[in-house]
Parts: sequence; structure tokens; C-alpha cells
Amino acid sequence: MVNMEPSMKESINIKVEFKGGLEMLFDNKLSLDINSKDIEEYLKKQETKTEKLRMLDLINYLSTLIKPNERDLFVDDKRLRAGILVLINDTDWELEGEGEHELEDKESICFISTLHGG
Amino acid sequence: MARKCELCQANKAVLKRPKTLQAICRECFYLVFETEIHHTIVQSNLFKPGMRVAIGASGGKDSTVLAYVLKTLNERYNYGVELFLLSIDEGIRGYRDDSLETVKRNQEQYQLPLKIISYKELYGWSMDDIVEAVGRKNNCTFCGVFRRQALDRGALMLDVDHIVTGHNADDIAETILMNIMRGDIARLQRCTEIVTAGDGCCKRSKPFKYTYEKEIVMYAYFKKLDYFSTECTYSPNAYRGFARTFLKDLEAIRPSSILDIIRSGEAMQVKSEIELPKQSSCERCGYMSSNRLCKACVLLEGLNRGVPKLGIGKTKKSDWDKLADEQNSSSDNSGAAQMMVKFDELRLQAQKQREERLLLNGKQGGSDGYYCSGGGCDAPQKITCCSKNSSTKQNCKNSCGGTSDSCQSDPIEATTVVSSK
Repeated sequence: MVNMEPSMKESINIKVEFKGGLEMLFDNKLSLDINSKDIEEYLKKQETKTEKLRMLDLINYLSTLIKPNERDLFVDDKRLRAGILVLINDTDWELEGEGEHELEDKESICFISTLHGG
Repeated sequence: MARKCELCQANKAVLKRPKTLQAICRECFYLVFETEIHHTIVQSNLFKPGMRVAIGASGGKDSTVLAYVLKTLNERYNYGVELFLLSIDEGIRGYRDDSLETVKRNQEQYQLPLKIISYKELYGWSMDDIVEAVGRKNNCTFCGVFRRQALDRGALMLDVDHIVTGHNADDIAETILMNIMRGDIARLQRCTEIVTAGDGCCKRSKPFKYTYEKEIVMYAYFKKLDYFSTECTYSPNAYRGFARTFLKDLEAIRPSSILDIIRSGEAMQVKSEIELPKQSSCERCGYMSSNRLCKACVLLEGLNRGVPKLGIGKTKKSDWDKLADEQNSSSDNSGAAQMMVKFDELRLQAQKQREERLLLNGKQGGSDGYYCSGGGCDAPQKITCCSKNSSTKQNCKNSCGGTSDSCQSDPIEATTVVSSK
């Protein structure tokens, strides 16, 4: 199989927010603007197909921005660590297909950790 | 093709409830979240009109949401309770100092009186000092033991009838698991109770006992409540962390696990022939204890003597007794490190405060009076109210030197300021 050219697609932009202490994993940045090209590039390196960009791809891409020794505070075996809540455009991602949710242009994704003390 | 709320069938669903797996909208979520907590409060008879209730406030998500919700419910359902924020300053730089700022903002936002007491003032040691002395291995033991007492001491200083804490369903399930894994039968019994008798002063309860952490966080997010979330600088290796991860993994597979564990914990009964440790009072400070000295006094003694391992792990009971005897024989340890204020003394002060208040309410027909906060008024029993209606400067009636100028409009705050001396 020859892989399809991803360049056919237009790139999309996503806004990612971190709350509940997660920002500490990302240089104390409270939000990041992510372009789909960054994710695609990462997936290419992983030799994963890039036809559709899913939440899971975003999560694994984001984990590459974390220091290696802190990565398991965000991902666990390539999935989002349990105890981190996600909102897609202010809606619980459990209603939006979770990791399989297909990313769309101008979507706003918020990650909130519940693992920090109260 | 957004999903509709399963409750109102009208608005867009924004949340999947872990408890029921229902998809619900924002407005319905607020309503069921608050109403369930109201039912817990009513069914467990937590409050009575006229009660003074302290909210253990850390500035974190749980206590922030608790303060907000209790204030809302108190107004909505006329509980008739007086709410206070009670915060413990453990003295951890870069953690507690920041979170206390959040509590101070909450005080403003919710218009609730706040009292902060520190380990340093109670025990003579801040957590930073303790970690310097004992290292990072056992410091959580100190912090936990000291915090429990500090809350009770703070409650007496505020003279409240009840302390509520933000422990949620996830926390309780986690504690049940930990107590099972440690074989701590006495605590296993206590940790599932929604109200506990309290260690020597007032009752404690957990209105969030059946409230999922996910919903608390979502509530705070949707309501844009201001909370603080940084991990304690000293805690990353704590045993609790492992229990927590395990529990979150379970919850991800089956959300009902949390309530199921609580149900199991409640159902575990200690056989009547098993003897639970008897509770009496610490010979030194008067706090509730099953030994002659309470754990806090033993830990503090260890710190002050430079043997911080004292009281950590499996210390022999006879060692504790020896310590108690030593204390009794050498009553004059002048120059020795700070002693804790005896509980009986705090109780006495609380009693006095209460009498003052009752007297005041009687005189004023239950209306709010003005307290003098300035001048030489430095003891709670000296507080006298100045006339609220006087527009001119008046001397405080107990001739402390203060005037009605220095009076505060909030009687509670004035009491707090004075009694914290």
C-alpha cells in the first residue's frame, strides 16, 4: 500500500488548555495553540497513518512535549492517564467519543487533572 | 447532532454523570449536584438552626466547591447555620502560602469569616522546619497528625459546633482501600461514617461523601470557581498516591466502583469480640487519645528532643508510657520547647465566648451588635459590644481604651481577631 498524500488536507488549528495542575507538566503554560501539521509530523515519525486526526493522536503528541520522567503523569500506555478530565468545546469528552473523537478546526480542548490535592 | 440532556430533554448535554451514566445539561447538572448534597445533609441530620459551622478550607477544589455550595444551600433551604472558613497553615513555602491566598479570595467572594491557624503557632514547628529535621520520608505522618488536631483547636477557637470537610466519594473509597491494605480495623470503621463524634470538641462531617470528584471538578469548571491546584511539595511519594491511581483506573472501567467500595466499607463490621482501642485523653494536652499521650505530643517531643523517629512506625507502647511518666515527674521544664495549649483551656475559652455571645444576643434581641476590636481588648472575655446605632464616637464600654471607631461591623471577625491571641 502506498500511503495517501496528507498534503491534500488543509491544516487545522486547535486550542489546548491545561488546568488543575497539569500546566506544570507543560512549562507552566496554561494553553497551547496546536496546528495539525505538528501532530501529523509526529505521527509520521511513529509510522502511523494520518488520515484522520483523533484525540488520541493529540494526546500522544502532547506527551512528547513533557519531560520524559514526567510523561507518565499524563499518559499511561499511550492512553490518557485515568483521573484527567477532558472537555471538548466545554463538553465532557465522554459524550464526544473520547480518544476516537475526530479533531476539528478551531476546537478548544481542556485537560483538567483531578489528581492534585484538595 | 449534539446529544440532548436526558433530564430536561431540551438543552445540549455537556456531562456524563459517573453515578448514573446519564448525559445531562449544565443547568440540570447544577440542580442535581446541589440537590443531592442537600439530601445528604438533611438525611444525615448534619445541621440544626443556629449552629456555627466551620468549613475546613484548603483553597483546593473540594473545599472551595464545598464553601460555595453550602453557602448557596444555606440560603436556598434556610438551614439557619452560620458558616466560617477555617484554614490550617502547615508552613510549606511555595504550596500552602499560595493556596492560602486562594482561601483569602474565597473569603471575599463568599463573604465568609476566615480563621487561619498555623503549625508554627500551635506546635512551634512549621512543616518546612520539620522536613529539615526529619527528611522527606516520614514528614506526611507529622503533617497528618498535626492537621487533625489543628482543625479541632481552630474549631474551639472559633467556638463552632461542627466542622465540615471536603472529603469526596473518591477520597473516602481511597481511604477504605488504604485501611484495608494496612489492616487498620479501627480506622476502617470510622472512615466510612458521614459524621464522626469529633476528637474532643465538635462533630465532623463530610457532606461530599457520595459526591464524585469528577462532578466536583466539573462544577468548579463550569461555575468558574477560583481554586488552587498544586501538589504539595513534599507528598509525591506518599502511599495514598498509589491507592489513588489504582482507584482511578478502576473508575475508568466501571464508574460505580467508587460507590461500591464505600458500600463495602460500610458493610464491614468489626466482630463484637474484637477489642478496639479505648479512647481517653492525652495526659499532656488533653486531646482524645487511645494511649496515655496522644500521637501529636509524642511526635512533638521527638522533634523537640532531636529524635524525630520517636512515635514513627512501630514504637513500643512502653516507650510512650515512659515518656508520659517522665513528663509527670519533671513538671518544670523551663526553657524547654513550646508546649501545646491544653484542650481544657481552649474549651474553657470557647465556653466563655459562647456565654458572651448569648449575653449579647439577649441584650440586643438577637440582632447583630458591634464589637470593639482595637485598644487593649486582648482577651475574649473582655469583649463588650458598643452601641450599633451611635453615630458619634463612643468609648468601648469595658473601658479597654477602644472606641466605636475601631469597631468592626462583623462581630464574628472581631471575635476571631481577639481570640487568636
